[in-house]
Parts: sequence; C-alpha cells; structure tokens
Amino acid sequence: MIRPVPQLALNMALLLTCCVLVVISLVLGYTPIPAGEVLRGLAGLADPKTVTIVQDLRLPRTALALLIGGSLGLSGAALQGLLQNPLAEPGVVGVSSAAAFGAVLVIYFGLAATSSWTLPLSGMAGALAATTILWALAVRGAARLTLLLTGVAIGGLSIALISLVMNLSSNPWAISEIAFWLMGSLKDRTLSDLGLAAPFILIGCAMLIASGGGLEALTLGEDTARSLGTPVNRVRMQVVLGTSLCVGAGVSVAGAVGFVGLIVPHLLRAFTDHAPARLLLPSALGGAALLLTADIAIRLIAVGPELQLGVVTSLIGAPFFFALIFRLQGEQA
Amino acid sequence: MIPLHLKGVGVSLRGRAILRDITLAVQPGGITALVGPNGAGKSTLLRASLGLVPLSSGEILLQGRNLTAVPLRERARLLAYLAQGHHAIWPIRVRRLVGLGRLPYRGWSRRAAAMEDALVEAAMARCGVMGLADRTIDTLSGGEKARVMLARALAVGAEVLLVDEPIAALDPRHQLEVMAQLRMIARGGTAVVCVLHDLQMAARFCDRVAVLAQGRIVVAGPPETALSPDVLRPTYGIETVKIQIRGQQLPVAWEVTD
Repeated sequence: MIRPVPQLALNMALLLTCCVLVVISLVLGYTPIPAGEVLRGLAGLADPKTVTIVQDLRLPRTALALLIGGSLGLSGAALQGLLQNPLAEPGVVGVSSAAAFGAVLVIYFGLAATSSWTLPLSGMAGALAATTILWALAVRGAARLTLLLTGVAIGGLSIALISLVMNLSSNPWAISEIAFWLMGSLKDRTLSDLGLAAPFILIGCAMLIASGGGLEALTLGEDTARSLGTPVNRVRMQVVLGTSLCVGAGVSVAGAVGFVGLIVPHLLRAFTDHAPARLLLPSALGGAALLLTADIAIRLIAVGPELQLGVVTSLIGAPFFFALIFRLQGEQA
Repeated sequence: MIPLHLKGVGVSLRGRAILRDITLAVQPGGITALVGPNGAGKSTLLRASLGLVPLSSGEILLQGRNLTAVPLRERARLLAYLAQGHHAIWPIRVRRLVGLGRLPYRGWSRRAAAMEDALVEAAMARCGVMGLADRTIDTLSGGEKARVMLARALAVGAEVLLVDEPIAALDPRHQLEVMAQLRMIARGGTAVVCVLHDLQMAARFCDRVAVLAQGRIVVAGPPETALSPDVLRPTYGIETVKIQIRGQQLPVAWEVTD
C-alpha cells in the first residue's frame, strides 16, 4: 500500500520535474542550440535567429504543453471529485469531443478568420454544453454509472457530428485540417495561440482549485456536505465552468488530447490520501509533466512524420483505462 | 433557550404534503427519538431541520433565530447531521474523515491547526476510534464505520445533533455501543434528535419520543406515554405488549392488527 506523503513534498517534487522537463523541451529541437544559448534566447540576448527559434517556436509549444497538460490533469481530478467516479475525465465524459465539435463548426464555416476569439469561444461553448448536461443529471441524483454512460453518449454524438461536418465539407483542405487538428498537436503553435488560450485556462484552473473544500465535503454525500456549510450548487457550478474553460480553450488551440485527466489523478490519488482537495494541485503539476513528457517523446521518436500528441496520449491512456475498469470491477466483486 | 424549535412546520414535495403542522421543541441534554412507520416523514423532518428542504408553512428557530436567516456556515456550526448509511466515496483515512467535521471552521489561517487536530482527536477518542485513525474507511467493519461517522458528526461540536437511523445495519453489540455514545453526547449538553425504528432502543435510551404518522406528530412525550400500546396500535397497525425489565417498561411488537 502506498502511504500518503506530505503535500508540500509531493508538490515540490512534481514542480521540480516540470522545471526539468521545461528545460529539456526548450533545448530540444531540429536546430541544436546549447542550453545556455536557449536561456539567453529567452531573455532576447542571443543572436536574432536563436531568439526567433526559442521565443516564437519553442516557448509557445512548451508553455502550451504546461498549461494544457496542467489544466487537463486538474479538470480530471475535479470531475472525478464532482461525479464521484475515478473513471471520469474530460475525454471519457465527452467534454473534449463536444469542445472539438464546437471548434470544428467554426473551421467548417470559415469563421475562424473573422476573429481569433471565435475558435476558443466556440470550443468552450461546446464544452459547456456537455458539462452542463452532466451536471443537470448529477443534480437529479443520477447514479454514477449513468453519468459516465451519458458522457460516453455525449462523446459519441459529438464525434458523429464532427464526422457529419467532414462528410458535408466539399473542401478537401478543410477536411484534412479538421482531421489533423482532431489528432491533437502542439507543433507550430504561436505566441498568439498561447495568448488566446492562457487567460481562459488560468481562470478555469483557479475556479477548479477553489472548489477543493467543497469536493472534500462531497465525499460524505450531498446532504452531509450541505450540513457542513458547503454551498453544493456553487461548487458544482465552479467545476462545470472551470472544466469548460480549461478544456474548451485547450482543445481549440491543441486539438483533442485525451486521457491525461484520467491517468494523472489515478497515479497520484494514493499519495494524497484519496482526498479530493489534496489531489487537485498535484494533478495539475502531474498533468503538465505528463504532457511535456509526451511532447518531448514525440520529438525524440524519429519515425517518418512526427507523431501527433493526442494519438500518443490516447495510446498510453486507453490501456490504462482498461486496467482501471478491470481493477474497479475486482473491487466490487 | 431552546436550541431547535419547529413551529407548525409543513413540507410539500411535488405537490404532496410530506409533513403537516409539526411542532417540536428539542431540549438540550437529552435524546429525542423520532419513531414512526416507513414513509411517515422522519427523514424529511431531519432534512427540513437542516434547511435542506424548503418549508411550505411554519418556521424553524435555531437558537431563537429563524433558520433561513442564519448564514450557511454558522448553521453548519450549530447543527450537525449524521446521515443514514455511512457511505464515503473515496477510501480516505479515518483521521481525515473525522476532520471533515471541522469544515465549518476551516479558514485561510493555519494558525489554529494544532487546536483543530486536538478537537478531531477528542472526537475520535470519545467514540473509541483512536486506534483506527490511520486506517482507510473502506477497510472498516460496519460497526467501526458507524463509530467513525459518529465521531465525524461529533467533531462539529454543534449544539444540536441530528441522526438518521444510526443503528439500522448494526449487530446488537454495536447498536448498544452507538446508543450509549449518543446518550453520552446528550449528557454533555447536546440536543440529540435521532430517527429510530427500534422501539425498545427508543424506550431505553431516549428521554423523549415523538411518534410520527402520515406527516404529523401523533404524540410527543416521555417514552412511557408515547410508546404505549394505545399510541402504537393505530400508528403502526400492530399490537404491542409491555414488558418490565429491571424497572424499565419496554414495548414489544407482538402481532399485526387488522
């Protein structure tokens, strides 16, 4: 059995891992640049070519991996706390797919060109629609399995609608853009992508972190949580909105990156004494570390075209999901 | 001052009257039992007292103040609730679970942490679960879990403790333990309200019994009068006999009347 470790030690260890990965991510690239030069490039002190490579290519990629990975890990932990199910995750419960559908609509109608805000806003609207349906069912006291299955249905519908859009699209360029984008990637993202997503993700993360105490109380069931002074409806709203902001903004910039929110909280839960509130921050840091690692691995694996990030996380995540289901099944038997 | 006073309380859910004209003054330092057939409105009465369901009529006074006017957090400090079933979703450790009882007091300052820990330990000690402090909740037996949940409710340090069927799924020994603990808590000055199905436990351990039927209080008074055959016959549709054991009168459900 894994013993819970002090919260500070766990967070510091994860933070340190993130720092190391950030450095690796910045140093790694097609053009070999020594670490010292990279640092000077970040500060704008190196030669113009290095500054361009570091600031315009590597910095957005690294920062987005950090932000999106962190927000996905955090959303997973918070959704699991809210729906009281260790299998809940933005991807599994259809929130990511719904966000993707929202964004795909914008691409299809060519609205992305009208304003840079349309894509993230539409993504967040999709995510909000999915999360709201889940929330409405949870309020009506739906069983944990029902909620999960509803999420699966939302995901299925979103993917069907995305396929429909691609089906109806007469423009082969749009189809390939949508298809590539659905696979999820952080390649060639710019500082303006970062600037677009970061505010929403950060606000979403703040809302999710703030829901910790409420999720803790919900461990004892809704009535008891209320009797302990927890504004249960506000906590639910916080998690729903926070998840929508994080996932919607993340998906519109990086496409669908699945399973981060499933893997990370599960690996860390035992270290945090299974307490939903204590799981939040480590899940954010762990999610950031996982996505950075995956993005670094992609750049190191040289197999023809670069692997897409979402493909890699799903390849790792799906077997993990299976294993988790089998284990939960064992516990219930 | 009466810690919890229900005055003419009515509750309707989806147009159906669940509680009608309930008037009950809960006294400190004793246990008030709520008994009655299934569906009589006992659990709803507890939930209404917590402010979890809206009233259709009447009012509830918490220490003389209208319950709806008392802020959530303050309400949570004055009223503790022990739900039926003792479920905890995540397998957290007992110490942390009991500590959740201190949520109404949790703030940004870490200064009081040592004092908070002491209060949690005191609650665990009073319920005899100190030895379980580092076990996770999923590894406990039913009786252990019941005591841990009671410690959680006790950790709130509230003036009023509302308990919903605390002994429903327990073996006789654990039933006696939990009832004795509730009595000890009441003797410490807390007003305990307890939903019970076991009439003998109600007669033995409770100071006052309120009998509910079809959303109304039929009788409220000392166990001897409230649990008399004449009250129980129409309420449950059963014939009871009274037995005398060690100077105490206990009702025994005997047969169904028609």
